[in-house]
Amino acid sequence: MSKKKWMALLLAGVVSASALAGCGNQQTKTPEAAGETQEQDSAEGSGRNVNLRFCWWGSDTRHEKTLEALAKYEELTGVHIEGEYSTISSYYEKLVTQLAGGTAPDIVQLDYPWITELAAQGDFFINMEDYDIIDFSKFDMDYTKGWCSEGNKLAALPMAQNGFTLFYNRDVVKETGLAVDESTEWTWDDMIAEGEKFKAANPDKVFLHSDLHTLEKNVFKPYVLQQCGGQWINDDFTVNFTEEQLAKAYSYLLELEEKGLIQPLEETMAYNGNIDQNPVWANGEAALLIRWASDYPSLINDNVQDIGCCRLPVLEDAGDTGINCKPSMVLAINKDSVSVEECLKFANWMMTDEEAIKILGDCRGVPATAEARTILEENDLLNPDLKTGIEIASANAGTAQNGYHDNSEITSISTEILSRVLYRDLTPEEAAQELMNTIEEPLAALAGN
Amino acid sequence: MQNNNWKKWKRKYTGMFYLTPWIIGFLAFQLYPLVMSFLYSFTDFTMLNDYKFVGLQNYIKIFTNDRLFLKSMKATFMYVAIALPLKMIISLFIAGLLNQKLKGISIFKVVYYLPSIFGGSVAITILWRFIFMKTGLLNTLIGALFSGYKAFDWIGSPKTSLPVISLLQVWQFGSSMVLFLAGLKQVPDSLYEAADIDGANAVQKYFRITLPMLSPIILFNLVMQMIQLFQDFTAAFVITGGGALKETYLYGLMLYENGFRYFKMGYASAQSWVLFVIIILFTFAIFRLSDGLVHYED
Repeated sequence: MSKKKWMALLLAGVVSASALAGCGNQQTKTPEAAGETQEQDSAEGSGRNVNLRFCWWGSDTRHEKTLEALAKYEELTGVHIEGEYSTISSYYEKLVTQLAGGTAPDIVQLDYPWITELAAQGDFFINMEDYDIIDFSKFDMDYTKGWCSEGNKLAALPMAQNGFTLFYNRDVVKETGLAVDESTEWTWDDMIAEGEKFKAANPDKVFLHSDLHTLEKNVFKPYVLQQCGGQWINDDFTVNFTEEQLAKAYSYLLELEEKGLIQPLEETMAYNGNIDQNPVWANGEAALLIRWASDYPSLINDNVQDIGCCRLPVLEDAGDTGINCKPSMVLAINKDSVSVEECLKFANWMMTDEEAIKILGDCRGVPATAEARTILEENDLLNPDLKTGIEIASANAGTAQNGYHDNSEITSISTEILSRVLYRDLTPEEAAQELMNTIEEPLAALAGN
Repeated sequence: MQNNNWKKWKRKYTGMFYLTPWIIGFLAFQLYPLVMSFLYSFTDFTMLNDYKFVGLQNYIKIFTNDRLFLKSMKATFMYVAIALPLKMIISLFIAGLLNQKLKGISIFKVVYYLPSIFGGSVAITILWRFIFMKTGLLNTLIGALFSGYKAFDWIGSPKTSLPVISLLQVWQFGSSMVLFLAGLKQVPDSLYEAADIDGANAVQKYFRITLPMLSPIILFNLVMQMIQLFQDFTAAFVITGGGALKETYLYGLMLYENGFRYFKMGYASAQSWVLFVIIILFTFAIFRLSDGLVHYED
């Protein structure tokens, strides 16, 4: 065999070996192996040689600040934490795939409904209370347990607070004389009345900036919940709302569109899920927007610099405000982590240490611990409008929704039916009936789990 | 004697060594998933649970109790029906143009191939938005040509969203174009010279020589592109999200949503096997219909 041939054979061998390495599952550490690492670490008295992975979603600001915090932590402790960050798009899909393959990161940022959803499938995260590392005295434990528990297990820690907010673009408000400020407490009918005045005087401006996703989550659902109260999906997988209540909500959305207070759906479809990228908002041509308060940073751009927050509109005779308040994100630790204790030490540092709090600022919204909020306020690191938004939402919070309220399949169905109303494919009454009929199956499937 | 055997053995199996990377890749990333997805299609697998065998339940549900299955099938067939002929005609036409002996023709080849590389990236989504939105390029152009034209959003309108995403596929005609170009180069000049002597004109030469000589490649491209279009996911996922009244809810997107959004992996596996059968049937039909139309030299 010539030298060339041997070389080729060798290369082929290398390639196939690396292909094999690539497709192998990353081995899940056995408890003994994990124990060894910990012993080794404690023997050395520091976290040297420990490499952890931390995944989160967010905007560029959040990525930069979190990476800065990770670098600081490594400087202080020698523990290297690799950041795995992206936008929310497909984040959960990727995480579930990693959990299934045993390759999920050690420290994981979650949205709280996922705790319930994942717990139904298996045991993936540690019970925070099994370890004496987190300084629970700094957390409001009623809030923490209320949102992050699954049964008796505390599966996560809340990182920040969140709530539905009616945002207003102060420049547009000034220019058009729209009567809205922090103290505004509209009913949905007030909103239409104000909107009609606004459109009559400013036909080129958009009154309430929207997309399908936002209309379903931030207008349709609260409107229904304000009529029926309680949970969107009850713990026994039934619903509280009636067809009439749904039809009323659909009619309201249709009225918003017919009166030109929101853009026609077909014009916003290309930006569905990326509401801040729609030129209507990006160029500062819209007055109002209903979103999570924690979306505040993503709504600021070159043309939109000054936005304020007020209460979400509420029906006049509402029993429940339907204003969803929740932790904006929670932090869980993978039970298969190479070093659960190191993960917990980092989580504790990240949420309770003054230096970490200052580095991270309000990049995850208003922090969940009172001490962190005080530190940020004293150092002028907390956006006052964001803080106001959270305070208003919390003061008017509706029933705390359980983990099923964001169920992806039911949300998909509800969103699709809403789109059919706005495309005039269904009347509000037909849509209400359709939703009642179609969600039966996923509800039954949930009940079967 | 022994030496001779070794030589024989070596000659026989050296090639296999070179194939090992591919074979390993095939086993790990194609055969294994294929077998597993077939098994999963009879279970209630969610990726994370201890799944149980549910018999044909998933398959029965697809045909009797899935409100989106027919809608998605319709969208997918429409998508293939629009994109496949357009893509074939355009790639054949451009390949014909690029077959000219001109200076700098390779630059054009690269330029026409570029869209296939960009594919369904985020940048393309934005480009598509700028072209097809209400205040986009297309409406501006039509508005300039026809006064009184009432602009509308091409992506957001249920009537036009599917053709718009089909165009994204049509635009990526590079790979079939390259195959056509290679085929055109294979057509012997002697055939054209003989036709010239017989007094054939350009159209006659194209339909009597070029197309018959290209027919095996046309068949190959037709089958490959059809398979690809049936499985396509990107265009609908990045541009419309299946939206505008589910008019662009392609089969691939439905599979993805069931598998990775609702975590009904067993059900999604069953759906993918249904798609597989549909593709096999169509491929078989194309082969049967092509009998007598495709010209093989040997």
